[in-house]
Amino acid sequence: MSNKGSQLDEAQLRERIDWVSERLQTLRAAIGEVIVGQHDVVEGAIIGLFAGGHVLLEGVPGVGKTMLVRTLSSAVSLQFSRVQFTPDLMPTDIVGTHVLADDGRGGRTFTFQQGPVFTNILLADEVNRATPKTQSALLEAMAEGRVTVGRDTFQLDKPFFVMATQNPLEMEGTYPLPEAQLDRFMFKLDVPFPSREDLHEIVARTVRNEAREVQPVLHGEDILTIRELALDCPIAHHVVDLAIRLVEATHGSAGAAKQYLRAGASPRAVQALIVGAKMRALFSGRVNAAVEDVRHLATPVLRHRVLLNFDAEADGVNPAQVLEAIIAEVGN
Amino acid sequence: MPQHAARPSGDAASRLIGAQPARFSDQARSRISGVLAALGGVRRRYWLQRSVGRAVRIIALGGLLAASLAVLIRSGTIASDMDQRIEWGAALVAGLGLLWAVAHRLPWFRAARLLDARAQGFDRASTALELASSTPARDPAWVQVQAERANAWAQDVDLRAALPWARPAGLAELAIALVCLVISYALPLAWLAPSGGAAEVAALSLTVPPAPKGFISAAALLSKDALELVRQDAALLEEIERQVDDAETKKWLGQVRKVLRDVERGRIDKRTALEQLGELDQRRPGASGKDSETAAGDPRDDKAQPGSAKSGKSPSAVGGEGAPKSAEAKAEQERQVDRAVSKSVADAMTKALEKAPEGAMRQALKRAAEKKDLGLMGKLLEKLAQKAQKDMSDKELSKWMKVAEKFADKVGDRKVPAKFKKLEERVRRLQAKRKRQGGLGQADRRRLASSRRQLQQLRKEHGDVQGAKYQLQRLQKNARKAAQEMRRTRQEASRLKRKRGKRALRELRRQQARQQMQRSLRRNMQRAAREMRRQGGQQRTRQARRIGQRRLRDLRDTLRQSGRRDRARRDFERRARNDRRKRGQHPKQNQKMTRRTPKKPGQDQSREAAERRARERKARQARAGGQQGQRGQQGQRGQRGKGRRFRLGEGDMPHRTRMRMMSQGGSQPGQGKEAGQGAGGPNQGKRKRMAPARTEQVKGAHGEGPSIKKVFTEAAKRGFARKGWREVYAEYSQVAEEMLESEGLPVGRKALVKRYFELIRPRGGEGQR
Repeated sequence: MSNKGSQLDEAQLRERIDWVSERLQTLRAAIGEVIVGQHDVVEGAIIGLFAGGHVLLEGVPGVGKTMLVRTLSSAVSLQFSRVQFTPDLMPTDIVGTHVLADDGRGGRTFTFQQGPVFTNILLADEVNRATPKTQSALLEAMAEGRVTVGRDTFQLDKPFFVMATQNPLEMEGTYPLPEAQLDRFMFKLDVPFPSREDLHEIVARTVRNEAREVQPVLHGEDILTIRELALDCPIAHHVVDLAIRLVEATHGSAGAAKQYLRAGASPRAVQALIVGAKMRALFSGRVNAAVEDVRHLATPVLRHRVLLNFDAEADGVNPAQVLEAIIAEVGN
Repeated sequence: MPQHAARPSGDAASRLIGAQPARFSDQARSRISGVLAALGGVRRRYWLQRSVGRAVRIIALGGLLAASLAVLIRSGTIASDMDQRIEWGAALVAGLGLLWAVAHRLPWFRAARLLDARAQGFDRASTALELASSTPARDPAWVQVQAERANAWAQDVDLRAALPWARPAGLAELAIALVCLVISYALPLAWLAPSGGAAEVAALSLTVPPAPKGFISAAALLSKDALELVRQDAALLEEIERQVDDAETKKWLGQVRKVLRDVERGRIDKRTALEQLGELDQRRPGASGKDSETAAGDPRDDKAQPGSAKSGKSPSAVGGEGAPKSAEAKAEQERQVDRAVSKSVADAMTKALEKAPEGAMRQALKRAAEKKDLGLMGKLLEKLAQKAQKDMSDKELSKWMKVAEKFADKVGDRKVPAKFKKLEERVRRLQAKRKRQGGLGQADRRRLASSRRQLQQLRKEHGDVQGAKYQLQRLQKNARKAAQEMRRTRQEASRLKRKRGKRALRELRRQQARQQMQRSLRRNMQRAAREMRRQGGQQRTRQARRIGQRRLRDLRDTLRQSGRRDRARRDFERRARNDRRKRGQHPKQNQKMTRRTPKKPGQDQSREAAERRARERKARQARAGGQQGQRGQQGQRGQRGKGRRFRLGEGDMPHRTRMRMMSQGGSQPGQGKEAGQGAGGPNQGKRKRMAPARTEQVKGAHGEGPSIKKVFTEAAKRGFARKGWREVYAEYSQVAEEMLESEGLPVGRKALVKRYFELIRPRGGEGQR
């Protein structure tokens, strides 16, 4: 499965599309064995992973954020690291540092000790508790897939996927992520509190001596193959136009954007929308992205990329509400 | 953001792919055949639904318009004669609406978007359409796979479920329109009828319907105000037509009314209207020589005017207005006859009624005499005759007999004809003398002027006595006959009483005498009543003709002035603003107007001589004829006071022409600031002869020149009004109409005066006095 989508003939393409669809459904089912409910979050995490983006999860403690990341990494058979961000966490604690080590010949030399960022899936737990200096240590890794320490630059393995979590309640002693950092995240997914039925199911699954293990259904190479295939997925012009208009609308001078937004989304948001829409189409077994995909992904893509103004704060309006209004205003 | 929201989505894509099936290649057609088939179905269903919706909206709109038009027509705002034009307009609008309803097509790309949205297609159809029509072709494998899946999906789409038949929008509006239509046609709309009071026109007791409110749909031939007046005139003539018995006058009035209606509705152009009006003016009943009724008031007047017949001149001709009577002179004569007859009869009746027994009949007759309504007086006399036959005491009979006797004596003042005759004779003698001697002395000139003035005054007061005399004689004869009959009966009774002396016989004779007296009184009163009613009918007919002629000429003048109306109005407004800067241009214009036409070199000498002879002849005529008319003198005074506009001594110029020129060239006639300083009369002829005069066309701008404003306070000095407003209005409006007719006011000003009197016309019921 190494051929790119554009180099395939029709039969191969049909076969590849069917295989992707089937694998993704399998992956989702595998994750669903562990994670109860949270379908949108699971879908967003999978799309983020396969689209090559990063995901910021926001939710109260105990709703399964870390469990989701762990399960996902297990299902795709990728290396997984977890960093608990604290105020005293240093950048070197993430990216690694040069340490003096015995070279085996009686001498000593500085060797690079890789940090937890050298992995496929990085869980940055409570990322907003670290100082901005430490947070910025992730910038290069997330944007370019490499790490520079001193004069040395180290390429990260592909796929590289960061899943960060933050707690919206305990804001004291936290350092909100800067806009540049936020813009690196493809999605910001709100992890809601489970419903009563989901809680029943969670209790039934977890409070017993039986531990559920997730079998890997995909490998790292498969992820890259699917990503390449998804990027070739056709998308109609009016769908692209809708994504652009949505992003433009966050900079609008009228309507909800003018009333509640201080700054709009960056062009990176359009890219995220289009790639996410294509991936979601494949995820659904379709071979073309649709406006429904763009509308569905608009909130998670744009939510953390817009800045609310004082009026929004005063009115108690959150970004999701503003984006809903903007989506309604833009229409089809 | 709203600009993005307002931008229809997919427009750019629609432009890119062209949205036309003709641009699909055969390969593309075959590739997305399933999608195209589904889209064809979508387009058909959409067209049908949209067409029905549009048709419903068109019908609703048409219904509302029809209801509105019905209300306007029924309320009289739009004349019903416009029906045909409205029908054509409605047919045109309906045709265009139908075209608009069906002439639309859903573009292919929009159809694909619609299908995707309605059938949960996730943009399969639109993407397939775009990929199939994109050049150069994108990834063939992807395009093919996508088309296959889109076709498969499209074949499974149930169009009936995806695009269910929706109730067309606008059904509520359609229902409202239908209800309005039913209301406007079916329900009585009396409250929409034009309301307003009546304009009483002299003795005709006519009712002029007020102008419809608001909407005027006539062509732009006339201004709005002029059209309102035309409409009122047409309504007035219609009313008159109903009241007049004379068939010829009726027919003529109908023709005048038709032209008025045509002008009001813009059916004829200005030229045609003027031609028709001119023709009608020529064909006016009584205008031709055959019908002398108009000129003298009665066909038998020719016989009754031996003096005129012998001399070949009418009294007015003696007065100096020229042998062939103009239409204005004839009309004026008619009016004078009417006024004289009415006044004499009314005066006689008023005086005779002093001895009449008190009662309702006396009051009624008195009122009729005050109104000078001969027709009403005739009716009342008939009633009196009937009453005399039935239930009238001897005393009353006796008193009424005296009334009849006195009425017979008083009707027709015999001194007036004698005075007329004397003055006419004097004028004729003086004119002959002037002709014989080539001029008159100062004393004779004064005598001639004085006689003319007295004649004019008499004519104003008593009309043409020769015309009125015959009518009065008839009335007098009938009244006297009634009185004689009554007297004879009474004498017979007295004689019988003296001779026989027997009581029974006396009683019997008394009864016989009473019966005889009753019969006689009734017969003669009825005869007098018939005569009076006949006179009243003729009076009405003549009045109707005069009104018709007045309206006809008003319309002609209005039409002639219609092109200049705007400029005149602007000038009037400018003068009202006292714009001295512009007024400073007048003297130049005046100078320009009075500049003489330069002689052309090489002009024929014989022609000059002929012109000179003609001028001298005219000057002589002017001297001989004189400037007798008072208005003419006034006009010349005003003219001379200004000293620039017109040359002196143009005595041969017709009065009406002079007035028109003056009204066009300057202010009101004879109203110059130095008006009255000139010496009109025979001296002007000399001045003209002395001046190197020539005939030239004088042109002037309408409405230019100074004006005089004067407040008449005489009426206010007399104290508070003791008459009701209706009576005052009836008198004043009549006087105003006569003045409007007689004075050479510009048409635009006439309209203003008429409008003013229309506005102050008493309205409402009897309670408003």
